[in-house]
Amino acid sequence: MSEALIKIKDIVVRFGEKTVLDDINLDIIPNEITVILGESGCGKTTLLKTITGLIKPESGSIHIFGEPFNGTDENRHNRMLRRMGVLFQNGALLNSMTVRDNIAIPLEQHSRLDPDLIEKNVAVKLKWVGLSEAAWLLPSELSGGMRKRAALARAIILDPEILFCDEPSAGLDPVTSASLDELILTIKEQFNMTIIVVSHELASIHRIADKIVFLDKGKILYAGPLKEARSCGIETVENFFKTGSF
Amino acid sequence: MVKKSDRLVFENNELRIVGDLTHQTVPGLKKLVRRNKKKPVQSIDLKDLTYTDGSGVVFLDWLSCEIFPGIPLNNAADKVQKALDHFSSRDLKIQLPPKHPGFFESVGNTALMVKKNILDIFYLTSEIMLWSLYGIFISKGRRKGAVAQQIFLIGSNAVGIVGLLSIVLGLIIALQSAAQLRQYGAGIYVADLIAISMVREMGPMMTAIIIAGRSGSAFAAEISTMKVTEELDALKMMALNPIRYVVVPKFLAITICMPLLVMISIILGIVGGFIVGLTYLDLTYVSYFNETLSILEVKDLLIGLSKSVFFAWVIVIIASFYGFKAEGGAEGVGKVTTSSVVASIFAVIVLNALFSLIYM
Repeated sequence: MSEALIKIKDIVVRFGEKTVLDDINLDIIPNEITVILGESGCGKTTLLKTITGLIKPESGSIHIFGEPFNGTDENRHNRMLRRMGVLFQNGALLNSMTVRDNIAIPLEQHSRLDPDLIEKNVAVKLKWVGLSEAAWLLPSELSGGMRKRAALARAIILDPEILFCDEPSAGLDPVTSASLDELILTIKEQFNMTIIVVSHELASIHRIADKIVFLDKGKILYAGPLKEARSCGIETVENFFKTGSF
Repeated sequence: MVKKSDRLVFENNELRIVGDLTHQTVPGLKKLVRRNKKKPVQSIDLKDLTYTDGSGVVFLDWLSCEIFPGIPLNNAADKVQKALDHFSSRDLKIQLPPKHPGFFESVGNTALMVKKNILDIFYLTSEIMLWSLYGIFISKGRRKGAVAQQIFLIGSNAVGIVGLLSIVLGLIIALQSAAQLRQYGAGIYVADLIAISMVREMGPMMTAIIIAGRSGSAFAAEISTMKVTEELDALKMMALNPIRYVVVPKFLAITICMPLLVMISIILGIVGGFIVGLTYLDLTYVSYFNETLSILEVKDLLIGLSKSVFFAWVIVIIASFYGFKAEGGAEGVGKVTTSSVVASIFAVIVLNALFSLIYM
């Protein structure tokens, strides 16, 4: 078994009196798609934001690429962030910039590539996500699916080693959702990328997941291969896969 | 660390690329290629290329298409070949930014936009007026307690800042004029100057500018946020008129509050002048207030207060107009809020000038 790319140890996150993540221990294996699922409010997005450093845990440690990620100095933290990409739930594209400019931000800020290579690189990624014609549109002129694809292009423009996706299928029709899943699968195969997805769309989970992490009230109920989850002996998890909903 | 020259090997008419091609290594290699582009190259060998990211693929395409045109990329490992197939930029047509309209087209577009905006403001004003009057008699579709809440937000919360600025304004005007008037032994006329300027001009205008910045911006931000988050659409789908439900309470509240705030501003402005009269000009309490009352007429007060009502309406109408026009997300909200405040203050000053001309 490969060594964990992300090691989460004894993570506790509290919002005021409420414990949102309670003693989370988790290893994320490289080159796999791990889907974090659970009912609304169980702490999925909080876990994702804690791993990415957007939320500081009250206690516990996170190691990424074998190095401590939380509590490290800013330069090292930023260097590590450049090796990761995040697809936010609503895309989080900068509304004042065109799609092309949004996607070019990481390359313009973190590489010394010439403008012509940046232009071509952006054009390739735009073509790859099927948005060549939308390069000069503003995010407000895009549909929900297009926004997510543009955000995906921005997340992978630096060819990161880890990609985080927060509810990539949320609010999308089944066809668009399936095409986004296809893109995620291709990214994984093409780049051997490690992908962590937060989702509760059963169809999407079946399409993309290698492993699942099932959260309930801030605790991990099950973490393991998708295939074994159906008969893992944990009622809530089995029910989810039987009924497809909570 | 591998040197750049070791990553790019020119030998036997062949260019060999060694190691990784990433967005970090490509810029240095590109410079090296440019320096050596006159060297004869008949093939580009990729057998020692272990990894390439998207930037590397674009670099390889640049090499084989622009620097050494027609020279093939040979011996790529499976993984590299896969990346080349997926991210090749060879047949890519880069979209150019859309052309900006020419001068005449811009002028035409602006004229059409101005016409549309004037019509929109006209319709909005008529609808606000209609619902403000009609709504008094019909309670259905009205937001209960909204007018009182708005009076609190627009009026009560603004008393402090309006009062403070008015005293300071009174002090400044009085100090500036007192120095001149005292030379001619006409110090007592500071009371006249302060009274007339505060009642007819400065009181209503300063209060309107404060309210435009404070409450007008809040109106525009609130309405535009409701627009971009589809709350206004939700109201429509619940068969509620957004103008009546959201704008009319603000309109009624500001119509009530503005004259009251102007009264406070006038009184405190006169108090500011009185402080200067008492301390700097050695006037007596009685003489200052007798002079103030002798110069003021009821007409002056009515002009000041009627102006304030018009200013209030202009602030609400402009804030609503911009709020309903908002598009996009947070960016759109910010833009319309700024535009609304600028336009409100401009409109208040222009309207004040018009009033001054009419009631000279």
